[in-house]
Amino acid sequence: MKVTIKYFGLIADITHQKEEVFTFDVDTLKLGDLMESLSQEYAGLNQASFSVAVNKKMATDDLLLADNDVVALLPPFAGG
Amino acid sequence: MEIAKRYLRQVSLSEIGAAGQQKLRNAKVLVIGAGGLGCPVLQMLATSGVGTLGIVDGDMVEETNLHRQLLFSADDCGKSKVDVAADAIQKLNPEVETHIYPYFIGESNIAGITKSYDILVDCTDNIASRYLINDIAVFTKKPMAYASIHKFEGQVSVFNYKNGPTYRCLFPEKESSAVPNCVTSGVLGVLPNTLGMLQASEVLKMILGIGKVLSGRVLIYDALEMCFNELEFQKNDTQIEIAYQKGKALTEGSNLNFELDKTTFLEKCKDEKCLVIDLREAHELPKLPFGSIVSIPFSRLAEHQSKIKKDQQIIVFCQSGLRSKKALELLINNGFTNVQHLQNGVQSLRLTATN
Repeated sequence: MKVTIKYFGLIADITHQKEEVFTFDVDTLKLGDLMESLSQEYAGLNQASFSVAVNKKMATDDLLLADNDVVALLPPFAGG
Repeated sequence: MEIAKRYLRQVSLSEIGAAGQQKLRNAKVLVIGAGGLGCPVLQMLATSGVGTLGIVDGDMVEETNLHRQLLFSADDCGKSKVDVAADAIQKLNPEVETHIYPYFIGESNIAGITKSYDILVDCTDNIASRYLINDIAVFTKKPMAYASIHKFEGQVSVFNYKNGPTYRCLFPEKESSAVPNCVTSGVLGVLPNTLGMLQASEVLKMILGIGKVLSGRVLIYDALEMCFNELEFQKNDTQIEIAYQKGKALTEGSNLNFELDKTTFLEKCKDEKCLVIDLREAHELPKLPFGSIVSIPFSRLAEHQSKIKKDQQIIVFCQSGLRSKKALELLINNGFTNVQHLQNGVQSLRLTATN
């Protein structure tokens, strides 16, 4: 299955890109498991604060992802 | 109602009309932060004819503000932002009534400052202030028009609109590292102006009751990619309850925590770190037998307060506790963060008159 991940603000500063596509050898994947492998890939995510949306809706870790889902990592911005 | 010529182009929109213009005139909007976001919000709300605008900011205008904060010019550097902003608004639209609060919001003053406004606009530059605004908005049932920026990106949303999702529903508070602001990470001048315009649009729509308010949705703008993303989020009852309780504490704290009983008061009179102020006139007796007490009659407090540091621990008292309660409110509303007063005044001490 293929999952697109979008990064915003400080999270994109950590990942050094705004979007990337991951391919997994499984048919379904829990959002929580995806987040775990992401934080192994990018150590900086562990200290960051952010909310996660799947297909443009905020979601929780137990959500099951499907092929072609789009996941977004949105941190609060501070500036004004 | 006679409509000033300056509003004709918007009054001619059927969605607004004379009735809409009257709604704008009746509206009371508090803009918290007069920086990159606050400037465009204030400019648009003022020229659109929002009747009452409160402006909160403790900063002075600095040269580094000038590339993006268009209410200010080079001559204004070193002056109080709220003073300059209020003058600029008067020039843009003399019909607008402005109220200025030349200090930063905090737990001790947010309830008082926000009290008389219908809509709170979050133009601050730090996360702690955003939670404070959210919590008071939830407890006092007011909408919060939010925007924030990071380098070339920005977010906009409206929280707590008609009992809708809140800032805490989108971003539950976590004990995490500090989130950088413009000072630490830099900002493209045009960016906060774009976001401020979006924020002002939402404020106008809420006042006018038109269109679809950006509630339960956060709009994310990326100026470099020139793209908008929108994410939906839901109400989270646990988070709303946290906000309600915190907002309640902020509101009630302004009455409860600031009253001293006589025992604590007498201890504080011996504490060198405390500035104890006798608000009574010179003829009022009995005088208290503590050399450290400073005499500033209530009628002259306003002119003396500029000599006192905002974080100084201050105790005020008078004969019955009435003047000291008023003085407490005055000081808190002027940004003093550590003020208390003697409940029921000197008469509660049951001292006999001495000179």
